Amino acid sequence: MKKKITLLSDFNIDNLYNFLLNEEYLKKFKIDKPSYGLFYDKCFKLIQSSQKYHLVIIWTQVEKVFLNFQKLLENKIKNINILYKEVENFVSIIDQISKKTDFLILFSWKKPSYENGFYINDFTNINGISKNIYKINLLIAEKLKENKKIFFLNIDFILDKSLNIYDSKYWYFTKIPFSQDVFKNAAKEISNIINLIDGNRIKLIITDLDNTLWGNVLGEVGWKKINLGGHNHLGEAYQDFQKKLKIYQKQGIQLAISSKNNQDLVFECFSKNKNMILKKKDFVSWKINWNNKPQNIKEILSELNISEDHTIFFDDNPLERKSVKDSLPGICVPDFNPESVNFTAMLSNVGRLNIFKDITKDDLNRTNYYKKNYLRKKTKKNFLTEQDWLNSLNTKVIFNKVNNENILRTLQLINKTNQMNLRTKRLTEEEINLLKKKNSQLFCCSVHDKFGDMGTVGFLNFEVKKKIGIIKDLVLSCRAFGRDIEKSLIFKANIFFVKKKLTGFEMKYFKTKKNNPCYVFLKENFKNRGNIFYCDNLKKIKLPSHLKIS
Amino acid sequence: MIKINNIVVDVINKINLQLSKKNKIIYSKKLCIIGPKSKMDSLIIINFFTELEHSIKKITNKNVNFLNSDIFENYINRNFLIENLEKNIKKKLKK
Repeated sequence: MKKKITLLSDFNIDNLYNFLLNEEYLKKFKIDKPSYGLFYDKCFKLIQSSQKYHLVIIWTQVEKVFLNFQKLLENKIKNINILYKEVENFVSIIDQISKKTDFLILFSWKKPSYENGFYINDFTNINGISKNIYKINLLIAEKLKENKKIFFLNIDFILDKSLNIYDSKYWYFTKIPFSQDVFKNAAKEISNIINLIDGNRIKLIITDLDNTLWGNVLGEVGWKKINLGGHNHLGEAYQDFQKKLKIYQKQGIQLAISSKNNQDLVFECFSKNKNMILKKKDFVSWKINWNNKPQNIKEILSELNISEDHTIFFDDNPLERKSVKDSLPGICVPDFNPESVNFTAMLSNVGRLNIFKDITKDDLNRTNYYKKNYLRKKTKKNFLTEQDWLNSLNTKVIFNKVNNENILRTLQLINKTNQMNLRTKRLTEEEINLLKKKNSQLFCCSVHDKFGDMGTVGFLNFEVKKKIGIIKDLVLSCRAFGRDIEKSLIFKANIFFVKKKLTGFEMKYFKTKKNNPCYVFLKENFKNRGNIFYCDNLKKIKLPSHLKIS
Repeated sequence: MIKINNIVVDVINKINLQLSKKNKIIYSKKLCIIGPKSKMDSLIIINFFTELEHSIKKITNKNVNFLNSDIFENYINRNFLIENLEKNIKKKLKK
């Protein structure tokens, strides 16, 4: 059954609904056709209904949703505190609606462009429109900040991208307060947000070099004369582009190079050109040669075990962009025109590059993790058998109960991992806390070997029902594949089941487009009845000899 | 020389971004916009004319009026087709 999305508004929101229906990513959801009627009536109806939504989107007009704000606009308000009482009531309604949905997007408000309020004193006057709009937004943000289901979306993200925000003729005809362009951009933004919630953030940026990371052709002009930084508009723009990429790298997105160039010259340039923001160490992989780019990119993706759906490619050459897009249709390949000098604006338009949660220790160390993984794979060639190589790694899997210290990374794993994921059930912090209260056993695991720490890579959720162990979630990051870590997760759960003297355990597999590796693992190691995989003899579960757990 | 049908096709393409697959509009001289044979709902019709006014303004720098004109009253019971619209645009641009 399709997950449901519904829209609540105090104006005709059909335009947004129509644009949402045309967003490719949202086709897997059922979006309710907006109903007519009073906004608060619709809110109470939703609160009282038995329906459960994946997402509720709330977009209102400040003067309609707060009657005292209308009075403020008409200079009729006597005591501004009445307005804030109304805001508090609104917050409590939003809070109640959030119980009916996995996520809620609430749009913030902006001063209508045609209202001047107290003009130059509009921020200082107690009844200023600007002042009170800011105050309402901040108050709501403050009140809702603990509710992790609610995203209080700054409407500027949408309005800033729209050429035409308000059209008075359109307003008088339809009583719709925004132009069609605003709704088109809002639909795109909502699609991005849901993509991010679903764990589809970009994981890898692959970039060309000449006329992409810097101006000019390195092989022709040398590292001293590439156009980067300095007192030159284009050079500065290239440098800003590098700065932005560096920020993404620090947030856990990997950087890689695919360039037709001379590798020695490139690394000489990275080390000697003082205007270079990015350094060789910032890149997790590079293919600097004269081979075709799609082939190089395929090799990078296979090396890192990252899928094309989580990758973006930047190149100034439209032919290269086309050949990559044709060979790897899942890759995001934005238009890249250096002459327009708007690299950073272009990056801000790629919604899936955005971050919306705190950065974890794992994000900061991710490039190192991938580099060490590359070294691990490289040493594999020195061994006669795979088992010899696995034995040589001295792998230790360390389990910890999910707690306040590791919750952020655990949530990341649950909400981003696609391939080794038993049911791909995305969970919120609130749901994790609920599971804990219901006696579910929640563990995350990190992996350590002779190359160092791999960070937190696994999540396990199991419980006991009628003398049978139920493994509900089995999640393993793709960077820990090929080491039998998934078997150690099963082994960990099995220790518990043996202690409880259970007769066996089972796991319900939910097929998605991406979790076939999980199916293969289950099929190879367990018996099944349809999508239920089970073990009826706990003694059979062994820890692979090359692993140690603690 | 401004090709009026290009403007109309462009506007139809923009409006199609709001329409479901089965309701997408295909340009044809006999396509009915207003009237008994129109398949567009009232909001889409207003969106269409708003977009058309903006496009014409952008291309010709002329303010033309459809939303305030009498088209809506005159064509409640008759069909207002794309060919009528194109003639109407031509007439408005000549003024």
